[in-house]
Formats: sequence, C-alpha cells, structure tokens
Amino acid sequence: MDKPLKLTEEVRKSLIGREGEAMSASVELGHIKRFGEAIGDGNPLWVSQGAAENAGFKNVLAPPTFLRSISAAVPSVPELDHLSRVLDGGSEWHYFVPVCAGDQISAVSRIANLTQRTLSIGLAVFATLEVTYTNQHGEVVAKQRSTIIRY
Amino acid sequence: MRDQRFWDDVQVDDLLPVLTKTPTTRQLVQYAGASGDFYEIHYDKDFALNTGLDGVIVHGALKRAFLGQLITDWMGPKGTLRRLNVQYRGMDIPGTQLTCTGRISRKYVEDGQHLVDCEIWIKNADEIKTTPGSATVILPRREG
Repeated sequence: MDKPLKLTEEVRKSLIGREGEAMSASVELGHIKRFGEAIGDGNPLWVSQGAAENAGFKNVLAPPTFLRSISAAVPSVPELDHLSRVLDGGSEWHYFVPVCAGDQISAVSRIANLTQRTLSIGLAVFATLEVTYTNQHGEVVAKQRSTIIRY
Repeated sequence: MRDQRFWDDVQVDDLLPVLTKTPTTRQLVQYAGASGDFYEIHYDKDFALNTGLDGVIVHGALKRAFLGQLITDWMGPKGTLRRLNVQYRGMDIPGTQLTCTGRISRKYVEDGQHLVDCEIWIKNADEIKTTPGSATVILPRREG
C-alpha cells in the first residue's frame, strides 16, 4: 500500500516553481505525418507543402496538438515517488505562432501549483504544470497548462 | 481541402459538424509512438489491471487531438486556433465509438480580430460527456 504521506506545507511550497530541464527538438516532416496518421487526421495542411503555402504558411504545418510530442522534461519530484499512479486531468493550450516542419522548438515545464485531496482512490496530489514552447526565433509559440493527478 | 469558414457566416448556437472516432488498441500504440507517451495503461492490459483499471484506456491527449481535428476541420485552412481547453472527466476504452462535436457560444471582435468561442465535447457510446472543453478561433472575414 502507498504510504499515507501528506505533503507538508513546507515541501509543497518548495515544489512550486520548480522547473524541468529545457528540451529542444526539431519539428520533422516525417514526425508530423506520423502524428497525423496516428490521430487519424488527414488535413492537407499537415501533409502537403502546396496546401500549406496556399494557406499562407512557409512549410507543412504541425497540427495544434502535435506540440505535446515535443515533450518537455517534467520537473523531477522525488517527493511524490510514493504516488506511483498518474492520471492526466486535462489541459488548456494557448497558441500564438504557427509551428511548421523545420522549426526548432524548445520546451520548459514548471510546477505552477500543487494541492492535495483525499479521493475515493486515496490521497491524491493535483499538480498544475505550465509548459512554454519557444521557436528558433525566440517567439513563444504556445503555452500549455495541465493538471496531473498522482495517487 | 477543407472548406473555408468565414466569421460573417457563423452564428451563436450553431452546432459544429459531428466527427466520430473509434480508436482501436492499434491506434493507441500508434499514438504512443507518435506522441512519445508510453505510459503502459494505454497498451498493456495486465499493467492497466494492476493499477485498478478495467483494461487499457484511451490517452486523454488523443481525445484532445480528436477535438483539435474537430475544430481545425471546421474552421478551414485560413482559420487560426487560438486556445484549446480539454478536460478529461471520464475514461474511454478502445473499440467504442466517440462522438466529437460542439456549439458556438460567442462571436465577437477583440483587438481587431474576429473571434469565435466554441464549447466542445466528446460523448461516449452511452451518451456521457467524458471529455468537455472549449476553444477560441480567429476566422477570416468575407471580402467586400
């Protein structure tokens, strides 16, 4: 059984603001195509250079939900290791600049908040994670705010 | 090519066209590979059972991708998705049909941009909304 460990206020506060390692990845054309196939989305913008140019983009466009696959390293939280089960509670994304094949994207994640609640499944920690995605021109292309539940 | 949607032609309470998806375990593996989310609850039944689930479950992020497609198909190539919010309220299992749709909740102009807010959701085969959300898009104007 999981240890009935509650985070002390001191530990909780020390975790808020913790950042993960910055990750950087190039957006590869083949990866965009495989992603489109995996989600079953045949939009020509994710496949065809011509369709993307006609719509005003410089190259094949990445679907908006593609950025999740440029994964930011999640901040390491050994303090929560006893809660081994993870659920994704959902996320809010704000998009500022289109992401195309050939872009270089870096992603940094940060723990924005932590709360703990006792649910039917036991003690659960709700972590709000913020990820900022930046392209090779230094433009913030998207921000993601997710809720991760560990129990 | 998807048809272009124009801000002028959209009204509050319009419904978005329905997009249906029936993700298979094969698709979950494909999505794991393409997204890099290799958490075993999405493809290893024994692992899923050991964590107290009844079997493997659909990635929340795959459901979000379905709702992303709902919006990008609807808005057309010159629309811009500005915001996508998706909450995972209920788990979905592979092999069952998911119905993705939504409705226009607001139409407005802000900072010179012509915007539309939509409520969006996924219902499972029992008509339960497992995955509600919302989106904001910028749509082009008709010329002239």
